[in-house]
Amino acid sequence: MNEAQIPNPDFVENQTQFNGEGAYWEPVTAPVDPNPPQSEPAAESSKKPLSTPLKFGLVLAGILTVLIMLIGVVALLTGTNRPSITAQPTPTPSTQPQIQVSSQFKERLDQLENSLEEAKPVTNPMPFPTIDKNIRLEVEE
Amino acid sequence: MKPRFLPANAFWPNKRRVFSAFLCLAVVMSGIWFVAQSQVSAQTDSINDNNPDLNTQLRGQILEYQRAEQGYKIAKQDYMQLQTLSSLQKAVDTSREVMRLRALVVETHLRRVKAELEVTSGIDESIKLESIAKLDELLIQIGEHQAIVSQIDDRFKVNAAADQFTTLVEAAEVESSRSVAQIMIGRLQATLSEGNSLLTELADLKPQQKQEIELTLKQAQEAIDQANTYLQQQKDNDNKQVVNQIQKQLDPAYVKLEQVLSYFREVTQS
Repeated sequence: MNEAQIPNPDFVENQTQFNGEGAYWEPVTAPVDPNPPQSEPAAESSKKPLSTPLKFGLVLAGILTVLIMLIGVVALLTGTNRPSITAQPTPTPSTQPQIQVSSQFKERLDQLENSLEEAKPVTNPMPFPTIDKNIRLEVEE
Repeated sequence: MKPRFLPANAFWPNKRRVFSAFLCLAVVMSGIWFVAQSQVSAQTDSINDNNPDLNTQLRGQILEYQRAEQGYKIAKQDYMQLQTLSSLQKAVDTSREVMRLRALVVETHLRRVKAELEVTSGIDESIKLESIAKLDELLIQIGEHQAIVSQIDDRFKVNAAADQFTTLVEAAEVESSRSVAQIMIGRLQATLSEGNSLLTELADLKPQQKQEIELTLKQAQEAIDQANTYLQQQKDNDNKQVVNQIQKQLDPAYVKLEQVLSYFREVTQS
């Protein structure tokens, strides 16, 4: 028998079935379920068109989401104040034992930290304003 | 023929669409405004300068300039298309206004840089004075340019003022970049000096600990000196990007100073 004629045992519904005697095919019908599943009322309600305010709300929410994402991307791309230093300083070697210092010294240490934060080299902290340098009115010859 | 009437609610979808479109447009315009505001803010707020008044002033002037620029572009386009006397007059008027505001923006920016330079310690005094003198000179030139702009009443004067501004703005950009670079160097130098000062007060440090901190401070100083030397070498070059190059050169100094700060925190338990 040709391999193409081997019946598929799952091939039942609305098709023909090999009758087992190797000579012919006979039509079969799908087994009928005595308790067909009832269509759920929810399915019916899901077919209802969305109300206009709801549609409008969904569209607006979508637009807002896209807009916020766009603003975020633009802000990320145009950020000029990103510090170029990404690596944190390596931990210092152990310098035990500790020294007792005055509160004044600690305050100065805090000030040093603030000054260092302000002095962090960033990409042009005071950029030249973006202006059109070519404002002119062409004169025709 | 019988007139056909549509039910009243047949118009509603169209009205709602129009309303939705307007609302979406409003949302998009708000977004654009927000982005524009952020960009203006990025131009003016990116430094912890000591002149909030100048900062606010500059921000307002940039916004005003941007509005005037739009008016100028539209008027110029109209003039190019229509070639009428009235469109020419409008183009000249809007050009004069946008040029006035542009000069004002540059002037305020230079004043802000100058003010920041004046209060920044850690800069060699002679270099600082030299830079301030150059900024003052530029401010005078901008004043002269503003006087020329105020007298613009035809397109030839617009173009003459444009030529003058081209040279002026190039010099302003170079000097602005150099001055901001000096501010960056000065701030790190002042921090390093304070670090040296704190080290001398830690009398109880072990020699080895002291040497470690001294070595790190020395390395920071070397990086700052290199940046300073580079800036002086660029003195005669019209390098508008010098500030970005200085920033890269100062990175190692900043890292070393952070290390020094960590040392201090560790040895003093604070």
